[in-house]
Amino acid sequence: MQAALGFRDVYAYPAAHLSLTLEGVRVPVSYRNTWCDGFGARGWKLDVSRSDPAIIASTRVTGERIPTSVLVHDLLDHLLSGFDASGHRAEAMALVQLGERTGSDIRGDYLQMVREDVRHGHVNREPLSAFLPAALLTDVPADKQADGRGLMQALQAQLGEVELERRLVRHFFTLGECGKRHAQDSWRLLGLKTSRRTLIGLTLQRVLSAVDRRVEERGVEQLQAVFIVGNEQCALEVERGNAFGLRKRYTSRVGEAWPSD
Amino acid sequence: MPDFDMELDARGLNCPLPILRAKKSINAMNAGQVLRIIATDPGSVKDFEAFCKQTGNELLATSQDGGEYQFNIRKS
Repeated sequence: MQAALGFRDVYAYPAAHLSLTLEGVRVPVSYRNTWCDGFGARGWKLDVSRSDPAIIASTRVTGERIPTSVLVHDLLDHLLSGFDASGHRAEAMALVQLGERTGSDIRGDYLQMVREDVRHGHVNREPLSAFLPAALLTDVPADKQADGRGLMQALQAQLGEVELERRLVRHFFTLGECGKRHAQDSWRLLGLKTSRRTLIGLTLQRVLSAVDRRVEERGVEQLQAVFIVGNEQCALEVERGNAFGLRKRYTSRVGEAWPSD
Repeated sequence: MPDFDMELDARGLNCPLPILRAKKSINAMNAGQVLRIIATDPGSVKDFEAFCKQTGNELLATSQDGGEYQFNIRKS
């Protein structure tokens, strides 16, 4: 049976992308000093999304108001929550997870996607007419629905810019809410407690920061590593880390301060 | 006359978001047009150099004023 758009079965990933152990969930990641992906950024990608052209590498850097990097967002709010790595529908659902995990207000992120993408007729992974709520399409002639830009122009003519924007943002919230149950189920299937996710996120961020800082200082060109995500501790295991003056493993207990090292 | 066709305000955004936003803006522009990006993330200097080298877009100018960085990129 085909999964609903944006949703993923966390048990269906190959071990090369996600696996379960007694210690926690193992998620392989790759580091490049510069990724040849059309962005060229330094940083890390989950191996599961390495071939996704919409995914840009992320470093340890967090948002100004959110104590989490894009990589930790991709890991916790997309992959482990059972959502696709990219696409507007998946992002709507993952952002609800981000908001609940960090306490951040996600309205601005939705508004940005509305203004920069949807208003111009662009939606990733599905046609705009499939993404929009059926109630918005009832008065748009069928021949206008195939072209994203034309569809948005028709809707703007009907509703006006302010009302259209308001409805589109509200739709993002609706889509986001649709993923809440699935995310909870995904975490439970992986043996992870959603009640611990805020602390797990902070712990992963600490581990990533420690390793990424060292990797950048040492000018490492590329690395393979594995995140281990658990309720009690999180770690990043670095393959052949000693070749770069790194430890084999960086571990931090969930909810505890990072030990000085 | 401004020496750019479109401006992207990436102030307050940290790596990798300025690059992500810039790529989206450039995709919507025509060849030869210039995008100006204003950013506050120091890492964006290296990021935009790598971005232009990889995409073939031309990094016309980079400047810093206080805590702000400006980049002018011409779409190839």
